[in-house]
Amino acid sequence: MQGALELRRKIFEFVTLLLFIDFLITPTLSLQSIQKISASGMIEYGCQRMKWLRTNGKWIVDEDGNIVILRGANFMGYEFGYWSSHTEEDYAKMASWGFNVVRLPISWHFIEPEPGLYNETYLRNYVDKDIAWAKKYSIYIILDMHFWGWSPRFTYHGHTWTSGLPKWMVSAYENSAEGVGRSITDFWLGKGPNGTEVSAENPSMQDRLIAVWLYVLQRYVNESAIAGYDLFNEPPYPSFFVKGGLTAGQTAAYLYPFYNRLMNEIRKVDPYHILIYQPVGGWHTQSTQVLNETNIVFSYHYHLHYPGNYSGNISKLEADIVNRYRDSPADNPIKNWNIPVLVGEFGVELRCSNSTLWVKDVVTIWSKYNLNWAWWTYWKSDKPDMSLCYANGTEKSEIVQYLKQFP
Amino acid sequence: MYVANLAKIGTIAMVLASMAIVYALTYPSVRLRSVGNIKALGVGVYWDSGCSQSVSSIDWGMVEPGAVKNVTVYIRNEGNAPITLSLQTSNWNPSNAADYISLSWNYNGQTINANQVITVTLTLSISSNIQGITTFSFDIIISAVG
Repeated sequence: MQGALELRRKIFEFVTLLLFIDFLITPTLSLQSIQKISASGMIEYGCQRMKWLRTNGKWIVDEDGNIVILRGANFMGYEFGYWSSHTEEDYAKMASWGFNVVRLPISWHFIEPEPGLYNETYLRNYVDKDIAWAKKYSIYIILDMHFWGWSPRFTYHGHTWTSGLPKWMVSAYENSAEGVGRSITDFWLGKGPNGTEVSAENPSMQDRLIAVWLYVLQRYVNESAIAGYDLFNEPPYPSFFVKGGLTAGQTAAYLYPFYNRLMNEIRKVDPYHILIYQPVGGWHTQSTQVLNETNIVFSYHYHLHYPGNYSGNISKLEADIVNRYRDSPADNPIKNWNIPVLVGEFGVELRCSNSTLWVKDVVTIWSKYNLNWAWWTYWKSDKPDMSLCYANGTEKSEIVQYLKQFP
Repeated sequence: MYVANLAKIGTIAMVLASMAIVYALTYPSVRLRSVGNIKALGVGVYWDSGCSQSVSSIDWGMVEPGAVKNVTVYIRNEGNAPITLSLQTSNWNPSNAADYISLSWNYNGQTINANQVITVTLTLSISSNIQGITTFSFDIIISAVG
């Protein structure tokens, strides 16, 4: 019995040893991990490739070095969810006026409807379609990240046309001017959604905007019909909404570092497209700054809203436009900067007195200084607003006659 | 009975021993490993260098015949061992789309260490001879081998 037990123990030890040896001498196993990604697309037959645009000093030039002055219009709609508002005929009409650019506002809240979940359909069904139509008529597109009303979350002012930050990102703020002001403050201070603290799992609102831009850019990195990306439409400042909030000048101290980070990230992915940036508010004189980047365009906006009116004095108008950024001569992009300037939005409500003369004179001034421009906005409406067409599609010739590039 | 069982165990042990010897001779380049390490492989594909936005699908949008379209992604080794990658496509729809459309990348076969993130450009090339296909879809398979 003792001998049998001893034998069993020895056999057990031997087998264990064999298993151990086997473990030691087994060659490294070739393991495999697989990542599957679905891909899709559409073939577009019969379209012309547009020449790439870039900047050269104060000019925008094409890939042959020819100067291209962008003149056209914004085409609103997709930033507000008006899905059927754009047609090929609209692009044909703008091309017939000699327009060579359409600034196309898009909205973050449609692109990222849930945290980290991007909506390709928005780009595929709408933006892609407009790009294809634009190319067909040799019109460049500027993609504009729009923030009208800051976010659709904020409806306190009665606006139903709002765009910008996704609702989930600012849902904890009250639906009031104070809520808007606080959320804008938190955005510039680098907070997470709803003012939360930032962590590896909870990127800041700024970082999320960078990620959204990268998502958009990846799609269009080889699309030469896109003239450029207008990175942040009319960057807001809190004191516009709440007393004691960051002023425009104070907000600039956050805006430009953000632009630098955004541009640095974009350039890792897209070294080709022109990047367009605006000062605080899109117009504010206290916040102009030349960025140490290449292939960039400075952009600002110039509107005349009712009940404003135009005196008819073009000299005063020119002085206001050209010296708009007059805090110091070095801050004047039109006069003193060596990068192109785009008036990304300009327009007058038709009900303002001397409105048509305003259009004529402003366009004259744009031409004098070789500025690129886009009217706000191509739209169809019978109201005496800034739309370029009546509801039936007929052009508002009292405005369009001064915007047309053909006699 | 007991003795018979012992004999069976002895036979099995001898067979195992023989297998071990043959095994060792068959794989002359085997190397000893650290006992106790478990090798886990994993690979993640992201839109951003911070690896916060995972890529589940790529929509190439509208592409013209003869066009080349790039998409940049960030690939992270999420296992604990060095890996190399390979790229395949499958499930083409329509099936003849694969005759006109190809996918490549600029990954050069370098080893990617654990937690390392590399930038990879995926390039979709459309043949200028493509005809009759208006939409297409396929699966991109990125395999990590370690």
